Parts: sequence; structure tokens; C-alpha cells
Amino acid sequence: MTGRSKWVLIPGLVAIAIATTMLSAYAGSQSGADAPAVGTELTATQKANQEAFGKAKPGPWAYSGASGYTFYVGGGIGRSPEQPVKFPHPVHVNTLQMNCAFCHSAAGQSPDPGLPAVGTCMSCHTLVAGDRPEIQKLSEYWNKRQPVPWVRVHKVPEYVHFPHMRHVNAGVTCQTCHGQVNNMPQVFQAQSLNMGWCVQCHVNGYSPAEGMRAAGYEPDSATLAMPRKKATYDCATCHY
Amino acid sequence: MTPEITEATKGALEERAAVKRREFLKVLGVSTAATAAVGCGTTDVEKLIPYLVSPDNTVPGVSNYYATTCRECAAGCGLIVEVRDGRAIKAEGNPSHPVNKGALCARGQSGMQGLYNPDRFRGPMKREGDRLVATTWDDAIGILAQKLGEVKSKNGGSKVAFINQHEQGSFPSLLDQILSGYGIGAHLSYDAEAPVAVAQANKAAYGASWPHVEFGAANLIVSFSADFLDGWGVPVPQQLAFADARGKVEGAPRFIYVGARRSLTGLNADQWIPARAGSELAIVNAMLGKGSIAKAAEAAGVAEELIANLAKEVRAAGSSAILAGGHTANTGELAAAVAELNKQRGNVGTTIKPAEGYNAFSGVSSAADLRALVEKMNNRGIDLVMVRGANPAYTTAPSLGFATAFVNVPFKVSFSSLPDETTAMCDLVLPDHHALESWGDAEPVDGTLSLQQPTMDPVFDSRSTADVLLAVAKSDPAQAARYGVADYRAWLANRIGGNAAMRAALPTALMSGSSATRTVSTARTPAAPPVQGEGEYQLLTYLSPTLGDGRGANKPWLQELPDPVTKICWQTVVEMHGETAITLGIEDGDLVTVTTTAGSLTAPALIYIGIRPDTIAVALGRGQSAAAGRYAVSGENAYGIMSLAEDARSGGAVYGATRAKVAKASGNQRLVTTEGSGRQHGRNVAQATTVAEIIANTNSVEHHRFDGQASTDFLPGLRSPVANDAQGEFGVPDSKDKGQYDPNHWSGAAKRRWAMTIDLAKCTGCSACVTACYAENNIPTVGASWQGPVLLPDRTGFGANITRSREMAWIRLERYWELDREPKDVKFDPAAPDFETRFIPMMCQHCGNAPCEPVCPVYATYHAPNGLNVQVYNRCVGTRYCSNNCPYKVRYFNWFGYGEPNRSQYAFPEPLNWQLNPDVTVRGKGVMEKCTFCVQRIKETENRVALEGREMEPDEFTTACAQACPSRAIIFGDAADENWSVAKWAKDRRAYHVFEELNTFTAVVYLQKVNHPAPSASAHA
Repeated sequence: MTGRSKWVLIPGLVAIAIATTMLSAYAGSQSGADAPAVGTELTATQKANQEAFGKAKPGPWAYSGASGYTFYVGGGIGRSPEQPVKFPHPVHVNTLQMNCAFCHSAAGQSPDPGLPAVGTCMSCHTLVAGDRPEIQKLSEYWNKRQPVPWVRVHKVPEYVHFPHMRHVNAGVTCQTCHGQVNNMPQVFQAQSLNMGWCVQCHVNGYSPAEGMRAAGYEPDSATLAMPRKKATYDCATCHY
Repeated sequence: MTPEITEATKGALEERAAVKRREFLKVLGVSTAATAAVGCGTTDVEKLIPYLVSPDNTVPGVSNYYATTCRECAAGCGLIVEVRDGRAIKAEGNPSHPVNKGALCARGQSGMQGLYNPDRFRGPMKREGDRLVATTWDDAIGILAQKLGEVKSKNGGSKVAFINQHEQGSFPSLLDQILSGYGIGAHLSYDAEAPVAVAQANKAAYGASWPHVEFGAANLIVSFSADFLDGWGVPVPQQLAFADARGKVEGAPRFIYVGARRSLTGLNADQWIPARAGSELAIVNAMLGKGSIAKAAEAAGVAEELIANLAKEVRAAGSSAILAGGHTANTGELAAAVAELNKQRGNVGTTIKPAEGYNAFSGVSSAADLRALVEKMNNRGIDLVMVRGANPAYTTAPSLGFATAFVNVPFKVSFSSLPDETTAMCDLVLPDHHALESWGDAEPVDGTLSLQQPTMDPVFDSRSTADVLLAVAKSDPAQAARYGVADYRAWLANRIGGNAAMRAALPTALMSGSSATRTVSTARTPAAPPVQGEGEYQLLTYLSPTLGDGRGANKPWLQELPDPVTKICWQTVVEMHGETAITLGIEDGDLVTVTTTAGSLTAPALIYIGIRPDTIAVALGRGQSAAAGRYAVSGENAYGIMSLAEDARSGGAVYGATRAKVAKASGNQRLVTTEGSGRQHGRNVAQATTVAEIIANTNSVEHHRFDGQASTDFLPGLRSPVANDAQGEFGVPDSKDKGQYDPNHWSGAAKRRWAMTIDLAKCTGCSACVTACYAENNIPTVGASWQGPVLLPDRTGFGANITRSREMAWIRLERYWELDREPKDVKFDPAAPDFETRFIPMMCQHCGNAPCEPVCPVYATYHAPNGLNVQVYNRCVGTRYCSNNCPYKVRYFNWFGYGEPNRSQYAFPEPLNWQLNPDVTVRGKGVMEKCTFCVQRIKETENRVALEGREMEPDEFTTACAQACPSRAIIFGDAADENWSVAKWAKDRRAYHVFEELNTFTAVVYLQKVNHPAPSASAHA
């Protein structure tokens, strides 16, 4: 390929890519349910996710260039990578009634929410359900003294500093940003996490009632009466 | 962050032992290595790696702090190392440490780049043919054990030598104990930087090898080539005491420097007497009445009046602090004479305090001792030599012949952690842990033990030398009984009262106690007669204030840090006076060849007014061989032209006793300098005053001088009426909503005004703040040869980017000569050689009315309600208008992808990137950046107080530059709140803003430097 034809080709490809992304982003925001546009055959997990997806509030359509996973449809909404161990949040949260902070213990103290150490999983799973294939995978990691290489789902770019503890301690429900992970057999990204989405709360304030609805509960009168939680919207709040 | 963690540290390494060490290394918390640069997102699959077992007291994303001891020089300062998710990311001074009291020099900061040095040994190596190949620890230890076993069985202990980098603490004692088990004599404690001559003279005269100097108790400081601000002796405590004394303003001591070259110490002096190297002794003797002043002046090559006045001033001063350094073979004698003068003036006990002395140099061997070993090696008297940390193959004069002698020793073992010339010749390499990965101790001052603990798991497959030697000794049945401990940590714990005592001490790493006494041989090797050689110039090869004897040369922070005096980085220059340059017919940057009996060196000339015309100077430390690392090769090796010189009394190394010929060579080279102009051209950037002016209140700074303008006192919120309007109702005429800029806004953001004061009376120009800023803010170094442009032949090699002013230092040290002409046109006047120098740290001034803000087309830079001038990297499109419009020239542009791992200009090759601060964005190509007032520290503190449900305390945190400053010249805080120190300092009678006439309403307030001119003639009488 000559240098000249490259210069014609590259912008062309870029233009096509942008157009495709924008179109599908628009489509994705209109009907969030069919967002994971990967492959044609849907796995059982993907189907279950699609059902769960409808329960989460779809994010507003916005320019998604700044979110962590730019090239995914809808600014990453619906992105659902397969994990090395199929950890079922619904079983742990809904059935066993475990609190998010049991495993993500740093979320209230640190900018990083933290993932459970493999040892935390094994504190139950040395005894519980050791015969299941996924638990056997987990035990294998543990026996090899290797951490589980979880695939990241939610990401904001490096130039965004998101302190989890400020949000958690302000009463923002986990589901406000992460969707109803408690209903996701395989975790997917429920919100675009782009800046337009962030500033909704940072400018207008966070409504505890809406946060409660996002978590799947109908707010009680006390919550409904609560004022919107204010937040700063200075650029240096997040960008430095 | 939990309170017990903020209280300095925790010593929970015991608990860590529950997880096997190698496994712990794998588990780096959940933050993936955040090294990707600014730019649009990535589709790469990113992994989140959890801990295998969560260590106690660790919260992912929250730093832990470990107290330990700095090993970058012999002083033994205390460190607090910040560790995030298992990786050390920043070294700061330990505030409770008796030596450095929280401050830390540039070299101490750079220990971090030794830890993560990309050229470190990955594991043990052994020689196969002409190269070193990787091997296993079992194999390597087996070879060592076999060699030592042979020594013992053949009774060959006298044919073995161990050269250790001089260090304090118990390790030298343990080492000698283990060596003696094989019949090997005491090791050689080598340090090329140690001022052995002065230390021995001090010991004889004061009873302490390195007394504390209480500059604050003196009315006059006289330094005879004692470069106490250049890294000589114990740099940080010396600078703390000096700056504290000078910061008193009224009653601060006047300072006179006597020496052939005005070092950084000399530039801080009020007066310079440019005496020839070696003539200091004659001057001191004249002051003692042992010689005539006229003869001394003749030897010194300066006007008699200068010496006479010096003698008068010392007599009239009452208490004074007189210090001896020296460059030539009479250094020991000079130090002894100065001690006599101090005693005569009654200074011992008041300014010179032996009882509060430092142990840095006790037990250090001299250059003569090393020469004796070389002679033994030459006579085939050594079969096995072991070396650890020291690099005598590089740090000695070629005529000593160390390398030739060393290479012919049948078997050579190195325990050095970092590669160097000496280790490259060895047959077996058993790399030690870096100091930040090791256990150890030091007794920097009598009675206080400063512990050293690992701050993280080893980066590479290294092993503590103490553990290796213990393992070898234990494998010998005859000795095993003596070492009934698991490892060196256990050995140390036993010494200091057990594990419980050690654990109790580790939060501050300080306890009362003393380190194991080492056998100090009193037998001194007599000094070799100095070989001066011939030539019309005295050659001062001096220890670099940034690189030391060369041990800092493979650390890009230190290479990029401009020398505080010459402002040269990455390059070796030949410093000469303007008159010398005229004689030789050369200008700045012309290549000259310096020839001595030892060899010759060709390097560009740098015209420097602070040097005698009959003297030239070249800094040591650069031009190492490729074996010493990728950065260390820059520049020229000045050891190569140094003749063998030892102090006549002590045999200590001296570096200024060579005569040299200088000739113009063909061609020239661009000087790799960060200096624009050396003069202020009347712009009054760095202002100075005198005590008399302050008392008379005539030191009128340009402060508050504009009729009809708002006062420049700090008020809450925005300072500038202009900027205020733009943000408020005048900006949007129909809006009354100022948002967060409203002082009554619920967030209270506009109630604060982050600001800084910098006291130029204290600032010595040492540049520790610069390196602290690099460390804190992920600032890339840009001077490596592969980072530079390749197209222009005169702009290639090390420092190429800096010749195009592409350095990224958010804070820089400006150094201005107060001259009425260009430095090259200044004639040397032996009767009035003096000139004034001013240092001023310059960083973003966070203007209330910032010229950069209105010109940004994309609002990437704007004014935050708390007074910060914010740079939003992801908004920036790189027009560089802001930089163009900045009167302070403090904005830096990423011309290349210094932060992008896949580019050749990447500034953080693995594992240097492990040091990157996760709280600060690594900037990408095409983005403007600048000082943020450490906004990440502001945010961290805001987050912490929110978590703890309280208000921020005054002076609760500070910026990285202020934290490190060994002069304590920088104060940061909220100037709108009276309770913060900065608010008081900003109202000081010496306070001024740089370029106040531009109405920029800066947030940085400088306090004028204070000069102390000679007292009037009548005062002497």
C-alpha cells in the first residue's frame, strides 16, 4: 500500500467507525435490552442479562468518547465480558442476602472499592459447594496460590479520579452506577459512565429516592422527603 | 485512611509472613497498573487482580506508610515511605527523626529510582567466558560456600578481601564476625564521598568525627571550601541548621566562603574570597598568628585586604562557626588548624557541638587503605575479593590501577544490587536487596537507633547479603552454632531486645540503643605523595551535588535535575572563568580538551564567574561505562583525568589536587542547560534586602503599591476582581448565581485560597523540591538520548530535548547573577571578586487573574473556586496559547508521548513505572501540564476529613516540595484562613509577588532574600 492511499483510507475508515458507533449508540439507548451486540447466538447468561437489563434505568444518550470503554456500543452499556469464574451475584446477594460491602469492603473507606481476596471466597467455599465446577475452578486458583484474573467491567479513564467512599458515604446506592448487579448472572455495564452521565448528579444533585428505585425498592415517605444530595461540579473535583 | 495508619506507620511485616513472600509479590491489590496515559479509552481487556489473602491493615487504594532509614549517603536520615497496594511510591523524611526532621534531599528522594531501576540485576549471575549469565540462588550460594570453604581449609584468610560500601549500623560488625570465621580480616568500608581527612582531624580535635554545627548560635560563618550545602558531610541536618539560622533575618549570621570555586555553598555566602585550592591553610595559619597575612594573600592569589578583613571580622564576631573542607593534600592539616581557630574563638560547645555529632563517618576507610589493597592485589596477594555496593573501579583515579588489579584477582564476588563497573568484572553476582527492601539499622547520632525495614517485597529475585552470608556460615558445621537465628531480621531483633521491642519501634523506626560496635582498625596506611602533574590550571574535580560520586548517575531524576550551580544536566562541562575563556579564545559550548598526567577529556566549556581564572572545574559522576546502566553513560568521566591524590595526614581521598593543561578542541556542543538568561535584566523576579533596610522599613517591595487597585491581601475566594466578574454576574448579566464561586456556596470551596510562601532568605537553591515534585507528580524525564530528536546532528544525544527547552520540571530553581553585564564579560578582580547570586523556586503562581485562562479556546485551564488554577488534561487540545501567555513560563508541553509505554520516548521503562503515583494522571502527548499545588493531596485530605466527619485542621497537609525542603523555605496552605501558617507568612514584611505590576494576583508569595554585607570599617576596630 502506498503512503498516499493510506491517507485516504484511514480517515475513511475512521469516519465509518464513528458513524457506526454513533448509530448503534443511538439504537442502544433507544432499546437498551439488545445492547450486547456481540455474536448472534445468545448464551443463557446473555439472555438472563438482557432480562435484567430492562430493570436498570438506561443511561441518557450522550457523547461517549470519554468513557472507559469507548468502542463498545452505547459507551459501554451492556458490555459484559466473560469472567474466569462464573461468579453469580444473584445467589450471593438475593438468595444469601450478603451485603455488597461484605466482599467489596473498601468501597466505604477508599477510592478503590476492592475485590474480595481469593481467601475471602475460600473462607466459605472450602466447605460450601465444593463439588460444583465453578467452585472447583476457584479452588484450583487457590491451590495454585494464584489470584483469580477477573476481567474489568466498569472503568473510568485514567484522568478521572472517582473516590468510591465519597459516594458510598453520601448514601448513593451501588445500583445507581452499577445497575442491579444483584440480578445479573454475569455482570454487565449498566450505565455509560461518561461525563454527561456523571454531571447529572453533580449539577442537579443526587435524589435518594431515585437511588432507591434504581436499587429496586420503592422509596418510603422518609426517603421521598429527603432533599437532593449536593455535589461539587468543579472540574478539579474529578480531573487532576 | 484510618487514623492508626496516618500515624506514620505500622510494622506489620510479621503478619505478612503468613503469606509467603513470593506470593505476596503477585498480589498487588485491585488497582491495575494505572500507567495508561491520557487519551481516549481503550478496548484492551483489563484485569482486576485481587489479593490471594488480604494482608492486615491494608485497604486497597489507600496508602500505608513505613518508617525506615535512607541509605543513599552515609548520613542515615529517617524516611517515611508511602506504599500503595504493595508498591513503594514515594519517600519522604521522617518528621520524628533526629537527623533530618522530616526533610529529604534530592538524592534521598531518588532512592526510589534505585529500587525500581530498570538496570537492576534480576537475579544471581555467574561468569561463563566473558559474560555473566543467570543462575539459581542455590547454585550461586553453593559456589560462594565452596570458595569460602577452600579459603578456610587452606588457611588462606589473609588472601581474601571484602570491600563494602561504607554504612552505619550493625551489618559491618556482623560481616566482620562472619569473615573472621573463615580467618578473613576486617572488611574495607569504602566511601568515595566521605570527607575522611576532615573527619579524622575533627575526631582528633573535638573527639567527634562530625560535630553538629549550630549555625544559629553564630554571628559569622566562615567556610574554607567546606561545601556543607553541596552534599558534603551530612547534607540535610547541615542545611536545616543553616537555613534556620539565615531565616532569623535579624541576628542571622553573615557568611563568608573561602575557596577557589564558588560551589552551591559558596553561592549562598554573602562574600566570596576566591583563594587558590590548597591556600586555605595559609590563610587559617595567618589568622592563628602563625604566618603573615601578606604571604597568605599571595598564596591565595587575592588582595591582602580581603584576608585582613576576614581576620578582623572573625575576631570581632564573638561567636562564629568556622568550617574546613579542602581539595588538596593539606586538607587534614587545614581541618586541624580550623579546629584550633574554633577553639581559640571559643566556638566549641556553642556553634561546633561535638556532643551532638553525627556518626556518619565513623569506621570509614581511607583512599590509602584501598591503595594498600590494590598493591596487595597487584602482588598476587589476593585470591578472592568480595565487593558490595562500592564501585572503586569507577570512583578512583586511573593511576591507582584498581580495575587492572581487580580484574586479575582469581575470583571476584559482587553483592551489589545495581550494576556497575566493578561488578561487571566479577565472576559471581549475588545481588543484594535494595535498601528499601531490606532490614537493617543505623546509629546516626549517639544513643539513637534508626531501624531499616522492608517497605515492599523485593522487585527482583535478589537476596539480602546478610542472609546469604548467614546461610553460608550456617552451612559450615564449625560455625553453625554461632548463628542460631533464622535470618538477619531475627539477628537484628535479638540484638535490640526481641521481636516485641522491634515491633514497638517500627512505627517510627526509632529507638534508643546503639548498633553493634565494629572493629575499627587504627593502623593507618600512610598517604601516597600527591602527583600533581603539570599544567597552568588547577583542576578541581568535585563531587556532584546531584550525582555524588556517581552513584546517582543511573537515576534519571538526578540526571535531569540541573546542577544547582551550573544549571547543567545530563552533560559534563569544563567550568572556567570568562578571562580564561578569552585567553583560550573560546565561548560557551566550545569543546576544550583538558589534559593531565592521568589522561585527557574533551567536553564543552561553560563560562562560570564563580571560579578563579587559574582554576578549572569538572563535576565527577558522569560518563560511566554501559555496565553501570543506560542513564549513567551520559557525559564524560572526570575521574579519568584525576591524578592520585590523598590527604597527607589521613590518606583520605582529595579531588582537587591535579594540574591540567587546557586547549581548544575543534567543534562545539550545545550546553544542556535549563538556564535562559543568568541575569534578571531589571525585572526584579528574585528580590533581596538587608537587615538595615528592613529595620528602617525601606525595603519597599512592590507590594500594595498600586493606587486605585484592590489590595493584594488574600481574601476568601477569588482574588481578582476581573476573574470574579467573569465567573459571576457580570459574566452572565441576567444571572445572580455565582455557583461554587459564591462565598456562601454550601461547599465552602470559595472560602479557601490555596497559597504558598517561599522564604528566599532560607532557600539555598539545593533543588530537593524539584525532585520531590518529579516523584509526586509523575513528571517524565526527557533527557535520555533515545527520547530526543534524531534529525538534527547538534541536537542529539543525552539532553537533546533539554537543549530545546522541553524539560518538564513543574518547579524549577532559577539562579540569577546580580551583574550589570553578561557573566562572560566579568573580569576577575583579586581585590573585589565578589558577586551576588539569588535563587528562586519558580512554579505555577496560581494567579487570581491568570493570563493563561482567557486564551484557552477549550476551557482546559480555568480558575477553581478555591483559588487553584486548574489544568484539565482531557480538555486540553494542545494549542499552547496558555504557555505563550504565561509571564512566569511555568507551563510545560508534552511534545512526545513520554507517558505512553509503546513510544520510544517513554520516560518510565519497566519497572520505573511502578513508582508512578496512582493519584496523579500520567499525561499523554500533546497535553499541557504544570504545577497543580499537589491538588491530589488537597483532594486526599478533603476525602479523609469527610470520611472522619471533621473539618480540615490548619497545616494538616502540605505539598511535596514543601514537605521535602531541607531549608523549610516553602509553606503551603489556605491563606484565607488565619489559622494556617501560610496566612501569617504572607503578611511578612519581606513579602512580595513576582510581577505584581501585571495584576496577576498570584497565590505564591516570596519573602525577600536577606543579604548581610560586611560591617562598616569602624565596626572592626
